[in-house]
Amino acid sequence: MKLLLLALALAIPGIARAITVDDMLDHVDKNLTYDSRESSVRMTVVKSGTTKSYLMHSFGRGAEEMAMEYLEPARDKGTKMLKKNDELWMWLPSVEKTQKISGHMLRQGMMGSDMSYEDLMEQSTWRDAYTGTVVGEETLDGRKVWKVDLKAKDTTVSYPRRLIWVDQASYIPLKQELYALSGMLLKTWTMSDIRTVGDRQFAYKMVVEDKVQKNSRTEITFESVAFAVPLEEEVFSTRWLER
Amino acid sequence: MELILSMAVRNLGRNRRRTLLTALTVAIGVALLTIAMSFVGGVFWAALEKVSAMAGEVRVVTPRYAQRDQLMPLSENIPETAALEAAIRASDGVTAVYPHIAIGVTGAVGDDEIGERFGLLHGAPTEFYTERLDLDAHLQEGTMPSFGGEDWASVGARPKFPVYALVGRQFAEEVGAKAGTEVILTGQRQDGSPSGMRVLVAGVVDLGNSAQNRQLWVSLDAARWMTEIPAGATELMVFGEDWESAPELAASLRDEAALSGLDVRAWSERPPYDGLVGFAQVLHAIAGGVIVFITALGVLNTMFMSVLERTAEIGVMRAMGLRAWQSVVLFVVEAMAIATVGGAVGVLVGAPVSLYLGHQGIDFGAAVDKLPPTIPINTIVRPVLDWNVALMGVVLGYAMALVGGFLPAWRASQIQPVEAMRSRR
Amino acid sequence: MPFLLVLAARNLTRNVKRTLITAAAVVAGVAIMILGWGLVDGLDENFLRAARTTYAGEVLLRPEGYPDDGVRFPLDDSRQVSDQLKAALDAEGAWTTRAAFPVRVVHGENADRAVTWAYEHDRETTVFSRAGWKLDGRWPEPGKNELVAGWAFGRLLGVKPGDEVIVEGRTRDGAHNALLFTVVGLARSDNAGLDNSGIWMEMSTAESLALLDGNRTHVALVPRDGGARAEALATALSREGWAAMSLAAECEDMIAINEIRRRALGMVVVMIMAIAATGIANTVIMAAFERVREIGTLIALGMPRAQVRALFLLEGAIMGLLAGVVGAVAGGALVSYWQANGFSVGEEVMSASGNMAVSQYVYTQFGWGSVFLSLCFGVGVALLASLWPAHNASQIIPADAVRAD
Repeated sequence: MKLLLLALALAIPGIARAITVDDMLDHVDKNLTYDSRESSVRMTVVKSGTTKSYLMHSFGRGAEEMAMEYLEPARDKGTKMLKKNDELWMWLPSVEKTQKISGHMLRQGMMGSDMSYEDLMEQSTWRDAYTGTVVGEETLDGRKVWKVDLKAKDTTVSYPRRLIWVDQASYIPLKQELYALSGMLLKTWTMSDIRTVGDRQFAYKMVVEDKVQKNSRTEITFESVAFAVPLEEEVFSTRWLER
Repeated sequence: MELILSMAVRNLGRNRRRTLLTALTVAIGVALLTIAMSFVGGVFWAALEKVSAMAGEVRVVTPRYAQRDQLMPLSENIPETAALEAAIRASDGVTAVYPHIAIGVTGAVGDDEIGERFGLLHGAPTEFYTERLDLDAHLQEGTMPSFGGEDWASVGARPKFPVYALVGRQFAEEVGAKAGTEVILTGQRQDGSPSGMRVLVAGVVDLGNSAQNRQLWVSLDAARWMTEIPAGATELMVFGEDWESAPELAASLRDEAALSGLDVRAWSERPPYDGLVGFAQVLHAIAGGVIVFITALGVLNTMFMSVLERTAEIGVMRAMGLRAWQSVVLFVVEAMAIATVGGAVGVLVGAPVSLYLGHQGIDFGAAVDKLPPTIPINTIVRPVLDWNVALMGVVLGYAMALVGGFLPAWRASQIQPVEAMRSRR
Repeated sequence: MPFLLVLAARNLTRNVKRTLITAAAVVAGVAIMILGWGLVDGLDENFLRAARTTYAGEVLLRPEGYPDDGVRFPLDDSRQVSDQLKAALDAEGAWTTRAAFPVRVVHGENADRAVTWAYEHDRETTVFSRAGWKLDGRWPEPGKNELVAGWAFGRLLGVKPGDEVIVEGRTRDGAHNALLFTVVGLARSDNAGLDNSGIWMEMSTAESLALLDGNRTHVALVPRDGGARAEALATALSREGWAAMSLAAECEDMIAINEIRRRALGMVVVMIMAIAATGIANTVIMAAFERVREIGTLIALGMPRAQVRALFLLEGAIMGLLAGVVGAVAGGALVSYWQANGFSVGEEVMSASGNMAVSQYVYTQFGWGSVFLSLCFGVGVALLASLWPAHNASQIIPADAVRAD
């Protein structure tokens, strides 16, 4: 039944609102979460005039495990990180040794970027965390989007309000505005270059912009991504770091 | 005149006890002054001198670095220092320039977790370590490594040659390292990305308190490689003829065209040291003043007494034809003779004691470890003998003897001889 | 005995000049000793006062388990102050609460981490009078988004009064929040740690920023009767999830540092008294010798030798006592004055202290104990110095005496 409604929604703009927001969020969540994933991504950090660019290759399993290797720049090539539940391990080619990072160093941003591990790892689904209201339809980058106002269901959610522009075709939030409790805009997160990967839609480009501190943003471009990848157990182990 | 001199000498011999007592007072006063001032000098002045050596008599950094000084931001470095070094070296009054990089690192031995033990890593030319920080003199174990000579330019991901480091005692103990141990240091590059380096501990150094001993020193090249600042530094440390005139040197360097746009300041012009000089000077002055005052009082007292009680004697001499001024001179000469002997003895006692204390040191105990690392006061304080102080003490002895002898003698000489003889005082 | 006293007193006044000169050494010595101890005790008090007037009061309560390293300020651990606890606090004296939490302060392109100290507008000054603080600007008005920054933090971020900044933080539950603030003042307290990384805002503003819901991280109490019962109070007030500490226990570490100064001062004082002692001894000896004739006469007239000795000792004692009293009064007066007003050691000495709470003003501490001790010392030195000459004087053979000098 839902599928029929969906089909109708795609065909007839006026009926778009017939989709429940929960369903919409379900779709969005489905695109954004994964059981396993392998990807190659380029991250560019811009902060007060300086720009640094990194190329990383990573494996991820759910929210708990992630193994990442830096491929570029040359200086960082070979640096590997392993996150397993709450533990973080690092391998630096200049040292050639697996080192466990003690608890209190974990708070820092990755490579000096705007994204803390927390931001990346936040995996509670939007559907569970937010109540949404569709407030309109717009066109963004030539695509039709729903503008949805998400309000956090409880006070523990990181971003009390998100304004999201969901692409009607792919259910990817092309743009998000992340708000503080006070209503101040903290960050914007845009996604673009949407492609089909397996049974989902995925945005190959993301830009996170700090709206509080001027001239501070991070760009992420996926060079390749695959889901439901069979992952060897070994990938999430210190042995992988040493290879 | 010879008559007076010989009379003076004879008088001194006549009442040995009195002479000795007076001389003793002078001696004790001078000795204690020497020791006490060596003490004050040892604590503060030596500390300040060390501060200027450690922090650079004059420091050149970028303005943003200066503004965020306490964070030691690697990204605000001077990218190319070679030309600046040359320009500074050519300046008047400059005896040495050293590029310097300081970064916080965490260290681990073997499989230990990183992020538990922290230290401050320094990279600078070897001369800075040997001539300014005196690291080789503070070696507790191991040897001074021969930094330099390695081919850093062709190092890829990891140096194939051993990277030597000198390590402060506290850091060594905390990570469990000694001479010969390999320690893995993790720090940052100037862009914030993590950077690691294996170092081989060549020697362990003891700088006197645990905050100072949480430092490590490697070659400038090693630090540059680790932080990815290949030709630059976070600071340029400039040294001149003497540390006390650093402000003048800083002022003249500020006029150099090559340094325009950079922050150039003497150590005493930068926090947290800018208040210390004044503080130390005040303390020095107070301590010195107090000691001098008490000593002077004692000597003066003695001299007054000894002359006062000989008023009768003065009367007799005058009656016998000695002129008024001659009697005064007589007493003054006596007083000076006593001051000479007393002063000499005082220095002979005070100096060796100061030196001994300086050698042994006075243990201030663990409390000193809690001071911040910017104040290098050692756990064991060594008084520094200042020959100037000893000299001052001797001069003081003379001055007091002069005043103490002159005044009452002059007054006594004004009284009619008969009255003086009768006074019995 | 009274006869001896009278004799001694008269002897002292006979040569006023001599007495005065000798006494001067004792006066100076005693006064300096009192000043020295006053200074050292004052330095202890310095630390204590800085902590007392900036964050601890006499009794400081923090939630059980709250880290006291001065580095972490987790809002998760904050608690409410129950009505019973409030009543218990009310019964003892003036108290106030604070909430501390980490934030990011952004000014244009620059951002730096800081610790927010939220205070209760109406209670704060009953406990923390801010008397010794210097403020460039003014304190925030309740209800407005205004803050005061520690002067060193302001310098780091490059802000001055009138500038606008955004303060970003997390609510107690973990949600992001941010508000636009106007910096209305830069404060210099006695606490370098607060000046370096702290910002001050009113509790109501902090409530809206961090959704505190009445939870707090610090409670400071200043009992009506001062800090005398602080330890006992700390034990009594550690309840309902709060752990209380007396000011002294909180400052233990800092006070340990004073050990250095005590030892240093001790050495200097000993040296000074040694010098004073020689001066005194000298004079008494001289006096004895000069009065040889007189002594001989006394003995010839039948005064027991023991009494002669006693006479000299008495003279020494009286002089020591009188001079000591004068010195004690002088020293005591100076110490008291500086206790009330303090003398400034200069602002930058404070920044040398990093994160320690060190006051710019050194206050001496008046202690009857040190006055008494110094007095005894003065008398003791005078007595000791008189011992040998007194003994000597008593051994004089009258015939020789009359013949002498």
